[in-house]
Amino acid sequence: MMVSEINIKLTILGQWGVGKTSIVNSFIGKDFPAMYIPTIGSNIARKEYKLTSNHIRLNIWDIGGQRSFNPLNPVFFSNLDSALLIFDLNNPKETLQEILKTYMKNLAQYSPECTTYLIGNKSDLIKPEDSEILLNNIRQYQIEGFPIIFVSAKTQDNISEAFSLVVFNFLKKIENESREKQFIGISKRFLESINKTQEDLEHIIINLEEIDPNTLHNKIIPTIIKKNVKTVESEVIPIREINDLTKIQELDVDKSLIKENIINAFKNNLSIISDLISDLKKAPIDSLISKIDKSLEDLSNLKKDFELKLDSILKLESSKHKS
Amino acid sequence: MKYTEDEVKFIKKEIISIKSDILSSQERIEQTIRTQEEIIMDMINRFNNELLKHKSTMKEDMEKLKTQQDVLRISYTINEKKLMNKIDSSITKAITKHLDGKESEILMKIWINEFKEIFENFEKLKKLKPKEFSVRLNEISDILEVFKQKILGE
Repeated sequence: MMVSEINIKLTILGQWGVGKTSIVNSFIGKDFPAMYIPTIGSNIARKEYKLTSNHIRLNIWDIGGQRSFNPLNPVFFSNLDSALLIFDLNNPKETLQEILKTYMKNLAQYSPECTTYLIGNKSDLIKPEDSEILLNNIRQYQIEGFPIIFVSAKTQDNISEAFSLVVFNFLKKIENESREKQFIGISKRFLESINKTQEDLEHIIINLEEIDPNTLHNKIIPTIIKKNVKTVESEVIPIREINDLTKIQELDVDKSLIKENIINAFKNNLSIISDLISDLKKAPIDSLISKIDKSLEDLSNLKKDFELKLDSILKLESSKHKS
Repeated sequence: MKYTEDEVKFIKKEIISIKSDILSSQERIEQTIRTQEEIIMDMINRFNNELLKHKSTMKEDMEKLKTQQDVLRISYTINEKKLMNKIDSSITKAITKHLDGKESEILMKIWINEFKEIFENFEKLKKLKPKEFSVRLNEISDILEVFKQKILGE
């Protein structure tokens, strides 16, 4: 039986420090970091779902939010199938403003067809007394028509559901738009493979019209906290914007961890190119030209990203010598 | 003309005297020649003796020189190897010192240069025949594999 491959390009966007990388790491099963390490350029993660006749590959592009690393580069916004716009539930005003001001405009310009979700992270940090202020802030900046989901990368609450919802909605979209036989019933088969129902996934969407500030805390508080399961407490180190890596010694950030992270992301991006080449090898002849064009865009993005990563390492090294 | 008896006698006497002179002179010359011959023979013999003597010592000297040359050659080879090893280790030391902790950066830089070339030629894939296309993709995969292993294997 022929197994068709479905690639979904999902980009994670948002201001620095809102927890984009932690959300991705939490989803792919990596540990929650003990401290904030800025993402340099983009890191790509993959999640695969193998259905009987379809192989779904969710390519997650985690874009570093530090302005000094050019998060608004158009290549990060082109050819997207879905986007998660992340804001910080502990700092909704500033982080939602940033989404409205910058990311939304770029998304509308470069990927107008992309399905977008607003994700409020750090739900584990919300206090009941702050619920009303939080809701008011979200209502004020809510971008009309986009589903809002609250998650906690730390406690993993709603994380896998949010990503599953992205995949499910994408599959529903191709099911409706494409007349190909192979896509009929694909969204249902996907739900069966993850053992969830459509209601389970849509349940996590917050309806701002109906929600009551007095009951919001009970609704969004992470399950792990509701069950009173103790999570590992780590020292809270304030998150800071990094404008210049050569002056990093002035900040309370572990340089060696940043370097290790950059090198790991570099290696990971090499694997992405390997996958891309092996996809091309398997591509049917009639779709080869369009696949090469699509690959070229990704390669162009990766080329810039490799250069940015090397440049960042050199800056980190130069900061080492200065200190 | 007729000679007198006395005159004949005188002439005969004279002839005898001349003969005798010639004989004595001949003897003297012969003696001189013999002496010279002896001297020369003696010189030749001495030369031969000397030559023989030198010939034997020369052979010894040649053997000695040959041995010394072998010793020198071996010693040169050993020293040359030692020197090369020393140079090699000094260069390695200097490079290691220079590269210390920078291996990743260097590999990243080499990869970026390699990748630029792959990227610049990527569009040309469209014009390749299926077999060439497959060969080129395999080449790229191989290059990627090498870099992945090198960066991962650090």
